[in-house]
Amino acid sequence: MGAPVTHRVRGAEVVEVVQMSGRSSRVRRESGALESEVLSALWAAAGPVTAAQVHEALEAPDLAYKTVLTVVSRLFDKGQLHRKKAGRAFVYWPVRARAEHAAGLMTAVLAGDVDRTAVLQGFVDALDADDEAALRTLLDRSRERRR
Amino acid sequence: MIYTVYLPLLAVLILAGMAPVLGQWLSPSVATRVLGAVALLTGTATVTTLLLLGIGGVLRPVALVGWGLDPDTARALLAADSVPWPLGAAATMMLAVAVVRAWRVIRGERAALNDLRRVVAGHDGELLVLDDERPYAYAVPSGLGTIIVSTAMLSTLDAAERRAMLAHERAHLSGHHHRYRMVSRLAAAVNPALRQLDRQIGFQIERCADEHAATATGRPVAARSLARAALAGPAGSSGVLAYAEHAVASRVRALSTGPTPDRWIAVLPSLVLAAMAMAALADAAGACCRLLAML
Repeated sequence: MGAPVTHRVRGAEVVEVVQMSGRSSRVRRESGALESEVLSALWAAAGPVTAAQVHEALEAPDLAYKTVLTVVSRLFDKGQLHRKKAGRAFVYWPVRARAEHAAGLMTAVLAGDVDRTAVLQGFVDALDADDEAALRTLLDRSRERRR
Repeated sequence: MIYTVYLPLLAVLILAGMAPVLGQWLSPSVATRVLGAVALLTGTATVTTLLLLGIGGVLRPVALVGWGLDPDTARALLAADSVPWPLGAAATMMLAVAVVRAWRVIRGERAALNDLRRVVAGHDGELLVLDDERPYAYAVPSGLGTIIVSTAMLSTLDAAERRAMLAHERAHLSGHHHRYRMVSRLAAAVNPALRQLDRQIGFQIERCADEHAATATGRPVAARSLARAALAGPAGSSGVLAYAEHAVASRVRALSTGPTPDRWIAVLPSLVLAAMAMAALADAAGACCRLLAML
């Protein structure tokens, strides 16, 4: 504890971290989680949005706007977002090429050959009619409660 | 040797039968660990027992034929209680089948992981979005781990539900759940009687990740997220640890009620059985070594 520990971080980046009761690694994981949330909000958005709109879409009141802005800029630097000037602010939208390519590869994995699917499958649980009805009831109830 | 070599097999069957009870009496994270240990033990015990039976069964025919043994040794071997040779032969065959099946599981898992690695290759970040109209979310346990989610899944869920889904997948990665599943798959491959245990571990792993999601967003949101993902449509054949699989309805129900407290007393019978199985195995292995030492 307290000694410098070299961590391999995503990609080729290597960062020297002084680990104190595992706190720094936790901070890193949390920043990664926030990045995922911001990215998924951008993908779920109907079109190009500003960082302020992303902040709003996250529905997280305890999250500072500046933090979201930082994360959005980082995602842009990583080449995962496009951006253009719209009035005084930038609007951002996700880069599709990589997502389309990866989806193609994933389709091949999901289709797979018979043998492999059998190994991978574990047990896939199809929803029967009763389950489906129960789940719909739950969603309806939560919708009413939110109103 | 004659009795102790069969005892572990009996213990393995009882331990496997107790898996669902353990699942009911323990919280998912503890149940995952306990059942993982049970799978490791029962799988190993199965292989060891088959190996001992195989060796024991071969010794008597060897002694009968003689094969360069001096007559005293042959007589001593015949006098020692040994495994009947048909049983030994059956055990050897079962062991061969078990090894082949285990190898297939390992090969399949490697191939699947390699393919998934190709999907996430060169991606920098925890989340990789895939432009796909089928709703799915997977945790890919390679390197630091990557969560892959389709655009359809993202648009199905609202912001809080997405947070729950991401927390669920993250829990799979940080908890190294694929290792538990690998152990239970291998156990089920070497001993088909452990399939139920494998399924139970699969379920508990999902429940464990659901509980992490519930901690991140609250139980109602986690339940809603799961229900919506499940209703959005079947995820197709599964990759590694998919989001909306494994008895979704029971998982949603479990999230609608409070968390399960751990009742450790439930572990006691399994511990006693496991200890007995290990003692019996050690005894049988000792007897086997004594027989081999005669050669």
